[in-house]
Amino acid sequence: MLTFAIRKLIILLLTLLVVSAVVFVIVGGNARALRTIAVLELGPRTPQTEQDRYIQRTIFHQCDPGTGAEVVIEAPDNPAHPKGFYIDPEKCRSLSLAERYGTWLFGFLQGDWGNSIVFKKHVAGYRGVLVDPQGNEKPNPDPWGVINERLANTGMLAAWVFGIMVSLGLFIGILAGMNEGSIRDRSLSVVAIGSTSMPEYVMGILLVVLLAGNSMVFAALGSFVDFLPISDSFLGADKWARKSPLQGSANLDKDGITFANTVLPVSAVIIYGFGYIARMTRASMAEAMRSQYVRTAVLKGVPRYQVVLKHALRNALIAPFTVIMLQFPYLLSGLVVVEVIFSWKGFGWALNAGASNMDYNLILACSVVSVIVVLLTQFISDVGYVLLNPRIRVA
Amino acid sequence: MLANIVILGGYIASFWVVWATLLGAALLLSAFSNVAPTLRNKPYSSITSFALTLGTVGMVTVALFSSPKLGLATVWALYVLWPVFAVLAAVMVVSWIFKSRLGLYGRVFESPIGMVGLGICFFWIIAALMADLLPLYGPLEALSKNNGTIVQGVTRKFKLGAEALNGMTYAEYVKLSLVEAGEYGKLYKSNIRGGAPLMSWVGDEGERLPAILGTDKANRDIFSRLIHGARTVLPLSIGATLVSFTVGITLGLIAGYRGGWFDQIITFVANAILAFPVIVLFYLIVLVGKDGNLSRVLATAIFAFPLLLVLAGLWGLYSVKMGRLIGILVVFLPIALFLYFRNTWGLPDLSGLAAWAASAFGGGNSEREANIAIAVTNFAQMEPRMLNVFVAVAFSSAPGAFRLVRGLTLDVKDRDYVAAAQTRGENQFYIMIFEILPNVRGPLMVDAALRIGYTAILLGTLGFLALGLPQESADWGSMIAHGRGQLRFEPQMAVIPALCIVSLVLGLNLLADTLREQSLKD
Repeated sequence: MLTFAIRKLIILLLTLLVVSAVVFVIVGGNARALRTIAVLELGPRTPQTEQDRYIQRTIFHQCDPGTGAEVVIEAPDNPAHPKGFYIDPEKCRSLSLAERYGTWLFGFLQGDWGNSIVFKKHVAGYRGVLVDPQGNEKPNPDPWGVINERLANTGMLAAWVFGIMVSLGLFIGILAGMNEGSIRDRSLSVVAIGSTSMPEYVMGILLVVLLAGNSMVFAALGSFVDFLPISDSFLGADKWARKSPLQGSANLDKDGITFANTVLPVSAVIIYGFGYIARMTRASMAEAMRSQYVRTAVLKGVPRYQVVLKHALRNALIAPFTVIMLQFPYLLSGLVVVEVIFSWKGFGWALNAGASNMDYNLILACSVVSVIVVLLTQFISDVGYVLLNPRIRVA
Repeated sequence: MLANIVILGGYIASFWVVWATLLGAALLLSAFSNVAPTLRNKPYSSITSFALTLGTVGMVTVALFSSPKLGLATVWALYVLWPVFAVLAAVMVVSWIFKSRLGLYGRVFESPIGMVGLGICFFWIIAALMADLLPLYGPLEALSKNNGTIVQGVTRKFKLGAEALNGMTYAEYVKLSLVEAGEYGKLYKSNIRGGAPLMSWVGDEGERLPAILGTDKANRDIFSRLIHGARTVLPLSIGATLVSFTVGITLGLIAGYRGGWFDQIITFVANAILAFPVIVLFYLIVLVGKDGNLSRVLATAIFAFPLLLVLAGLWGLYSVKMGRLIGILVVFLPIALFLYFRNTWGLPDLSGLAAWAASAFGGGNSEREANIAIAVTNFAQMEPRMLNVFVAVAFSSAPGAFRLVRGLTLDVKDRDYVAAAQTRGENQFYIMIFEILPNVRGPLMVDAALRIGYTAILLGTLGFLALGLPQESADWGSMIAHGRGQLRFEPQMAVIPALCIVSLVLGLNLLADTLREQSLKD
């Protein structure tokens, strides 16, 4: 078992290495895009040598640390550099793509993920001390990077989505798979198919139209309350009936994560996702209910709920476990879309902002972080499958 | 006020409650269905399908006709689309009559749910094919340069005040209350920027059709764009799925049949691609890669596989009849290579030929010369932005197809008929393509139907996030994105394209489900 896990872990690290290299080549090997950024930042009339220097010193750590190229210069006017020192472009030599990748990788492993152009701060946060031109050290006033705070927000969203989606999917799948071919099975299967046909952006739009803020439904409810022979203040009807408490766009910086701004994004992802889990669970449950041991239990006269809960369910949940863990890439994609729709300032929102503005370090960091998350879930799925399934023995 | 309550009922019923009803009906019905052995072998209980269909149709009808304009829009839409429905009905009836002779396709007609799915898919295919024959506006045609007429309409209603309420949709009512609430400036601006509401005659004189679903920001008719949108969505999603399947079939057959280091490397690569969330892949390919040659490099790799698959098939069939093989290749290879290089690197460059053709056939008319030049330059070539999107979508769904084919091949390769072919001394490409592949076609077809739907969803995502697809393109995702800013005033601008995507995907999913059931019966 340990060997199996270690082998999987080695493959995971190898995949990560290859993937990060490919992403680096896609993002960093794109000379024309680099030039676009330099022109955007410096203005169109800047001479090409100036643009080259900008590309070298802001986007990549292109200098060997030992060559004395790191020079502290006075009062950097570029707010993208919270560290407070520049790299002297005159003392740098141009590095090849492979060397740049190596430098980036070592920086990444040490927690130095570079600066974000869009957010004007470190991608991963810089917790060291800042050195000003006089050589005085002072603590960094803003030690949190872009990814840290955004990931925390997305983690909250993902946790809610995952918890509700998995329990709903399993529940419906088990209900449907219990009596394969019954009316309940058919109807729930149609519901599950409907769920898999409603992508997050469709559901997000519909939810905003129907349930958020000054939506029609609530405006109509308001006029309905007007029509009723009751006073407006009855049960607070004047408040809740005219304006939905749910928000169609979240303002996390001001409100934090609240019920009002979380419900709609969470339900948009859930509605798209639970159907697939339900169908997989249904298939697995139906197979378990057809098996010999369930037939034996039924013939023995075991009560039906015991047959379902004790005999069938335990075996039927092994396959959905793998399916659920492998759903993570789709969950992450869905979260990106939903964060863009509801302007939920999380990881996906940051990725969207970064990618739209060619923010190199942010795109690199976001891609690699999401791949790490996916690979870890796949690892858990592989190891968990072996642990859960008593029929599989690995050396 | 009473009218408002009826409208309220309609809007609530329109969507959200359909869902709750389906779920509730399912649970209620399940109370009557304890283990009923008689039901087990019936394909679909008629009570269930009847109840579900009636419920859905009823809800939709109530929703549509609770608002007079929505009902009118429905009638107009049915009127404009009647040729599509006529052809659809003809196709369905003919297929129904000959269903016993049509193999797996015919057996879809044995299940009502499969028929619904097939009907929806056929509807969109026929609509896409017939879009030019219908009395629609063009997808890029602006109805009128003067948007002011719409604003005048709203102002007039504002002046009429309470009398106007009776015949209004709820969207208009909300607008009016906004006007009363003093947000007039905001509304005025949004109407200048936004389009016309449902069922308005906004064009200049001599228009052939009202704007059934209103117009968008550029005053283009949304309904016409929806139908024309099928022409973007369907070819892209079907084409990308087919290409990704040829990639998956070629690599999966070899990996599954031969195994060894090739299998290990390709599986590793496929797993590495699958480790990316699709959206991240899209950001990398479409947004970051658009300035470089990334999409061309990927296209070079991906478009090689259809070619390789055909070559392998030909080799498998005619490896012992060299003469015939060479004869076929002489005809096939030039055409295939021409298409391949045109769509990857734009070679050979036809701009010289275009200039010559324009001067030779233009006849001095500059507009005609320009048209000829464009047509020749773009001959047999996908538009670069479309190519970008196509490649991104095909690339992201190829690993899934590869895994499926590899698994199926591993399952099948030890069967007797494969052993028999090996004993006969057949070519290995023959065994893979003509022995293994036809025998795994059932699961492949089911997965293809599901994957076309998923690809349509991905295209919608790309359009929605404004990734890659041209800004003016009439695909449904972009239309949702355009309508997003107007959700409070003109919800149909975003909601109807969204429902189009849902209907297409739902149709494909239902079809796939039925195909799976019917092919399991073998």
